[in-house]
Amino acid sequence: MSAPAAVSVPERIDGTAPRGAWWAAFRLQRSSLLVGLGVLAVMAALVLWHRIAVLNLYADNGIIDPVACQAGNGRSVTISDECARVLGLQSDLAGPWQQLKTLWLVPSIIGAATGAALFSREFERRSQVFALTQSVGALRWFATKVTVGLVPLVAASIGVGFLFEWTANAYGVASWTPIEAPVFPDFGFVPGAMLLVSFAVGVAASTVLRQSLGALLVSVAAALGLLWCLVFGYQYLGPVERVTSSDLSESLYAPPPRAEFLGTGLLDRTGSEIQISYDCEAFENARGLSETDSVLDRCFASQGATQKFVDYLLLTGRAQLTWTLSGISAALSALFLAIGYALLRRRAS
Amino acid sequence: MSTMHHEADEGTVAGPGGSGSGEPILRVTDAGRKYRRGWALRHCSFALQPGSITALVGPNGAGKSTVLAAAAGLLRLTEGEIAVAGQVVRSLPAHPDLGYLAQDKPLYRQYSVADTLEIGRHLNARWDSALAHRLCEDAGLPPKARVRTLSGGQRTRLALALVLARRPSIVLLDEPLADLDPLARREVQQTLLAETVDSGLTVLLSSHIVSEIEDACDHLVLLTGGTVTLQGSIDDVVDRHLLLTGPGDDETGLGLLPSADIVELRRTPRQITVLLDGQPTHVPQGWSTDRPTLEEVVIGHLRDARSAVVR
Repeated sequence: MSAPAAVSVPERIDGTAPRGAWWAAFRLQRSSLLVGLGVLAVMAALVLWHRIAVLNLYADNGIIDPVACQAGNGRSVTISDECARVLGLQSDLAGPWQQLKTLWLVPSIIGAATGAALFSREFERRSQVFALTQSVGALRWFATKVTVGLVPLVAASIGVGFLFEWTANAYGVASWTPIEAPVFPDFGFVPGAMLLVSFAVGVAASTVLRQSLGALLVSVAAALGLLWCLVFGYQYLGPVERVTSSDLSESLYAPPPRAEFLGTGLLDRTGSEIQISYDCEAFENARGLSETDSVLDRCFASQGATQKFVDYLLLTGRAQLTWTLSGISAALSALFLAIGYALLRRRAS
Repeated sequence: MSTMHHEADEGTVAGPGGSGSGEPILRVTDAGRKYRRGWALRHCSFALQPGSITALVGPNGAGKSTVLAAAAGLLRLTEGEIAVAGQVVRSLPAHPDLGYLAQDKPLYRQYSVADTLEIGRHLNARWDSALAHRLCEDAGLPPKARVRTLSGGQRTRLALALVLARRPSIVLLDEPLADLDPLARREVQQTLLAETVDSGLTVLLSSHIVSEIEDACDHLVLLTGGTVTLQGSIDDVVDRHLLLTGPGDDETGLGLLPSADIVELRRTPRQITVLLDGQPTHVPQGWSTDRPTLEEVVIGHLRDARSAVVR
C-alpha cells in the first residue's frame, strides 16, 4: 500500500515517551505514594523509638549483655540474677511492644488502599481513555503505573520489616523470634510480601468495580482475609520439625531455643495421631504428680497411644518459610495483576 | 420511498484532491460491533482521504462513538476491520499518526493546565510543545489553572491541544462541539481548519447536530442504526438532492416522481414537499424545485432510515 500524505511535522519535537511514562506515572501517583511512605515512616520511627527505649532501660540498669540470657529462657534451668532482672524489665516493655506488633496490619492496608486507587479513580473520571490513547501502549502504561506505585512501598515495607526484627533482637531473649505467631508478618520480607499481594488485590478490585470506595472496601477486606490466613497458617509453609517420646505424660512442650511451638499430641502404633479421652477412673484417685503421670500413661496407653509428639518450627527453617511465602505472594500477585490488566484493556473505552 | 438504497459497500469520502483515488488514511471495512443488547455497528464501511474534514453524523445511538473508539484501538470489532494509514487497527497503542478525543474530553482534573501538558509530553514520543502552548494561549487557558476549574469550552480547547500536539495525520473527535457556546464552537472550528490547511491534517468529527458541522466540514458520513446510509462531499451530497413542492391535492403529480428516489415525503393540507435523491426526468406542472439545505437532506435521510426500521 502506498503511504498516505504525511503531515508536516516541525523540527522541534520534544516528546519523551516511552521513558517519560515513568515521570507521568509518578506525577499521577505522587500524593498517594507520599501518604503511603509517610505512614510507613511513622511506623519505622515508632519501632526505632522502642528499640532505643529498650536499650536505654538495659543501660540504666547496668545490664550489658541481655543476649547472654537467651540460652536460659524457656527451659527449666536456673538463671542468673542478671537474667532474672532482664526478664523482669521486659515485662515493663511488653505493653508498648505488644501494641507495636499489631502494626503488621499497616503494610497490607496501605497496599490495598493504593492498589484500589490506582485505576478506579481513572475509571471514575474516564481519564484512562486519555492515558490509553497516547503513544504509550496499554501494557506499558499498566506496568509503569503498577511499578511506580508498588516498588517504593514494597521496599519501604521490607525496610520496616527488618527494622522490626532488629528491634526485636534488642530484647536478646528467645521469646522474640521472627517466626513467632502472630508477629511473623512484622519481620523481614514478610510485610513487603503482604503489601505486594494486597496491592495486587486492590488493582484487580479497582478494575472490576471501577469505583474508588467500593474497590477500597473490597480490597482492604480481602487483604485482611489474606493476612488472617497467613497469621494462622504460615507455619505449614515451613519445614515442621517433630520430636517424639514414649513417655506419654512428659511435659515436652518446650521446643529448642528460638523455635516456634506448633502443637503436641499422641500417636498410635502406626504413627497416626489419635484423639485421647481423659475419662479414666484411676486418674481421679491419683495422689501426687508422679502418680498422676503414671496414671495418665496407663490411661493413654489403654486407648492405643504409644508415643507423644511435639511439632515446632526451627529458626533455621525461616529461609524456606520466607521463600515459599514469597513465591505464593508473587504467584497470587501475578494472578490479580493479570486480572487487572485484562479488565483495563477490555474496559478501555 | 427509498430504503437504505444509499448504503455504500465501501464508499470513499474524497479529500480536497477531489477524486478519492489515493490511498485513504482511514478505511473502515464492513465493521461490526456487537454488545449484549445487540449490534451497535453493522456492515459499516467508509474511507477518508488525507486532508478532508469529515462529519460523522447520526442520531444518538447510531454507532458514531463506537466506530471512533474502534479506530482508536479502544475497543475491538466483532467483525470487519479498520485501517489507519494502511495498518489494520488491532490493539492499543493507537496508530502513532492518529489522535483521538473522546466525547467527555477525559483529562486529569486535579492537575493544572501546565501539568497536563507535561503529562502529555511525557506520554508521547512525538510531541510539539510549542504548538500545545500556543493553542492553550490562543484559548486563554491560564497555565496554573486546575483542569476542574475550566469551563466546558476551555476543557475542550485543552483536550484538543493535547490531541494536536501529538502531530497526528488524522484526528478523530467525538462530538467535540457539543458543549460549546457559539463563540467557542467557532474558535474550535477555526483551529481545526487552520491545522488542516497548515499541516494537511485529516479530521473526522462526529455530531448529531447538523448545523454545527456545516461550516466546518467538507465531507459527510451519515450513520444510522450502525450503518452508513449516505456519504460524500457535502456539496455533492446536497447537489444531488432536490426539494420539490406541489399542491396538497396533486396526487397525479406526485405519482410522476420516481418513487425509488423519494427520500422524504411531507404533506400538509396546502402542499406536498418531496425530498428526492436524484434529478427527476420530469417536474410535474405546478410544482416548484429548490436546492435543499444540508440539514434538510440529513433530516430526510434520518427519517427515511427510521421509517424503514419501523416498516
